[in-house]
Amino acid sequence: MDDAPLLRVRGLVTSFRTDTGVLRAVDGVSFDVPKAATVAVVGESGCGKSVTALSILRLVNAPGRVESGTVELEGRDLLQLPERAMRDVRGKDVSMIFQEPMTSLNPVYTVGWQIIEAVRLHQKRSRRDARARAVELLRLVGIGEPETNVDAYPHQLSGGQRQRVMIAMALACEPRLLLADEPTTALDVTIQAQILELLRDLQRRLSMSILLITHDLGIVAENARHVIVMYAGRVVESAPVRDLFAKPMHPYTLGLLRSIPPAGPHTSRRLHAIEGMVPDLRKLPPGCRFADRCPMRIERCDREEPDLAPIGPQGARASRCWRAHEVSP
Amino acid sequence: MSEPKADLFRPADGDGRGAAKSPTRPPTLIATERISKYYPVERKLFSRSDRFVRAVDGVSLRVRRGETTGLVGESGCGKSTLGRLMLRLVEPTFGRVIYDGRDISRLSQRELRPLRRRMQIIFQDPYSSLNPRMTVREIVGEAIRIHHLATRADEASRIAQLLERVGLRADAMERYPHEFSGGQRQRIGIARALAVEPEFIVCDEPTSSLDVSIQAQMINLLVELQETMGIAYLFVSHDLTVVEHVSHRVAVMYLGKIVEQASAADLYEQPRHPYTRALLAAAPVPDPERNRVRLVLAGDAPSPLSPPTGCAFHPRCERALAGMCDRETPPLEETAQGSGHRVACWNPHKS
Repeated sequence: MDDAPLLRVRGLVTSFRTDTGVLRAVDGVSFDVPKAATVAVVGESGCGKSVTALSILRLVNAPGRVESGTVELEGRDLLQLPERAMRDVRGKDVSMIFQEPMTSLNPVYTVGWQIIEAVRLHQKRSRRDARARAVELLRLVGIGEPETNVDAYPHQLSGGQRQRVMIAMALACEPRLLLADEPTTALDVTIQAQILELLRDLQRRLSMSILLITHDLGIVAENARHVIVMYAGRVVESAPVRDLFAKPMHPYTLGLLRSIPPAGPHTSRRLHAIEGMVPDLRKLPPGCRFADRCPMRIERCDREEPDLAPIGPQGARASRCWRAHEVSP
Repeated sequence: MSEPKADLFRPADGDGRGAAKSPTRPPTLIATERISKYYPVERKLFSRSDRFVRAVDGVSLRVRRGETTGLVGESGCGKSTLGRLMLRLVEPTFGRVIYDGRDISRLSQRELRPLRRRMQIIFQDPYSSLNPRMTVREIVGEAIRIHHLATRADEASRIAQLLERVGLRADAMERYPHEFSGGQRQRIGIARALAVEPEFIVCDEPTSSLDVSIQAQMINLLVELQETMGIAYLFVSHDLTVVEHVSHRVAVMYLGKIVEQASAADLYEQPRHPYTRALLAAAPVPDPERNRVRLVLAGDAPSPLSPPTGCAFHPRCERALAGMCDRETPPLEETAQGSGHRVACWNPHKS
C-alpha cells in the first residue's frame, strides 16, 4: 500500500505588495493531503486559507506572489513547472470550485458549452462526444433533465444548480485533487446539505482527494479526515478531525469551537466569544500572532513565536502554542 | 380583506423560556395581523398585472416587550420582507401592523415619524449599509439631530457614549467606515440604531456575513443590550441554530407563510413540521463522533412565481398525503390548546 500523500505542501509563502508594505497572506504553510481523503482548512476571513488554495494552482494574481516553498503533487513540484505544463495540471490533475458559482460561470454561454470546453481542453474528443460527456457529468452531479439543461444559461438555474454545474466542470477530467473554497457558503442550508452529500459521493466513486476550505466547523466535523487550523497566515494547529474536536490543543481552535452556538437547551443566551480581532498582517507582533486575544497568554508569548511543534509519537498532530498541553475545554 | 379574527392573539402564546419562573409574559409590543405583501409581475405599460408574487402571505406574528422573536427560513421565503413590513419600510398589500396597541398600517409618513424613533433596523451587510462618505460621528449623530435628542454641545459626548456602549473607542468618531473591520462596522450600525433609544429593532441577518468568533461577540452584545435596555428584537436569519439560541420564540417561514411557531426550546426539542425537521437535520453539527442523520431534502425551494397547490412544501415533503397536501393549504393551528406551539401541516410529526 502506497502511503505517500497525494499533495505535500512545504514552507509555502505568498505575499502581497500593498501601498503600506508587503504582507504575507500565507506565511510558511506546510501540510499533506492523503489520497482519496478530505483535508479541511479552517480559519476566519483573512487567515490565508483561500490564498493557500490559489497558490497551489499558481493562480495568485499581482500584486500577490508565491515567494517560496514547494507544492508537490505526487512528487512533482508544481511551483517549478513551466506555465505551459501548469496549464495541463489545472483542471486535469487539480480542479477548483469557488463560493460564488455566478462569478465562475460565463453568463453568455450555455452550461453545456462551458463543460464541453473544459472537457476538450484536456481530452481529445469530438464536440459530439464531449457533449455526451457533458450530459453525463450533469447527470452525475444530480442536475435533473440533463439533456435539456445542458442548453441552459447560468441565470436560468438556481444557486444550488449552478454550484452543481461548477462541480461538473471541475470534475470533467476526473482530477485527483479538488480544491473546494467555501463551496456551500452562499447556499441555503438544505441545498448545502445536498452539495456536501454530492461531494462525498463523488469522492467515493472517483477516489478523489479534497482540500476543503471553510469557516464552518460543522462542515469540517462531517466531512474531513484531517484538519488544518489557520490564523493570520500561519498554521496554528493540525490534527485528525476527531482529536481536534475532542481535545483542541491551541487556544484559538478552542475559542472557535466554543463560539459556535450550542444546539439544544441552554441556560445562557451568551456565547463564548474570542475577544478582539485578527492582527493587521502588516504590523504583526514579534511573538505569537494570537497572543493579544489569547486567554492563556504568558510573557513568553509576546517575545517568541512558537513553532508548529509535533505532538505525540506518531506526529499526526501539531500545535503552534507554548502551552499546547494545558489547553482544556 | 376581511377583518382579522379576534382569536388570532388569544393569550395562548404559551411559553418561552423563563415563563416557568414568571407566569406573566411581557405585553405585546408589535404584531402583524394577517399581513401580506404581493408584488406584481410582468407589469406592462398601460396594463395592470394580474399575476402576483406573494412574498408574504397572511402572516400574523408578534414580538413582546424586551423579548426576541426569531424568524428563520431560506432565501426568498419572505422573512426580510416581513421585517420591513413591520417597520413600514415596505407597504402591506393587506393586513395590519399593530404597534403598542395602535394600528400603524394606515399612518402617513409624517404621522409615522415619532414612531420611527421607537423602531430601528440593523442590516446584514455592514459594508453597504453605512455611507462611505460619512464619518462615524455623522452616521451615528444623524438621527440624534433629526430627532433633537441632544443639544449641539452634548452631541459629541452622546455619540462617544453610544460607541462605548457597543464596544468601540470614542476615537472612532472621526474615522470612515472603510477603516473598520466587518465586525466593527456592524457595531457602528448597532450604535446608529441605538442612538434614538428604540424599543424595537429588526435584526436582519445581523451576523450572516461575520466570522464565527465575531458572530459570537455580536450576539453577546445584542443580548446584553436587550437585558440592560429592554429592547425587543425581531431576529431574522437563515441559521436556525443561531435563531434558536438568541430567541424566546421562533417562527419558521416557507414561501411567504409561517409553517411552525413555538418557544425556542419546544421548536428544537419537538419540531412538528417536516420542513423544520429538515432545516434542523441539514445544519452541520460540529461533532465528528455523532452519526449524521441522513435527511437530505431533495430539490430546490419552489419559485414563488408559481407556488405549488395546497401546502407549498408538499413537493419536497416525505410525509405528504396525496389528495390532501397537494390540494388544501393547511392552516397554522395550535398543536394542543394552550401549548403556544403552532404548526401548519396536515400530517405533522407527533411530539
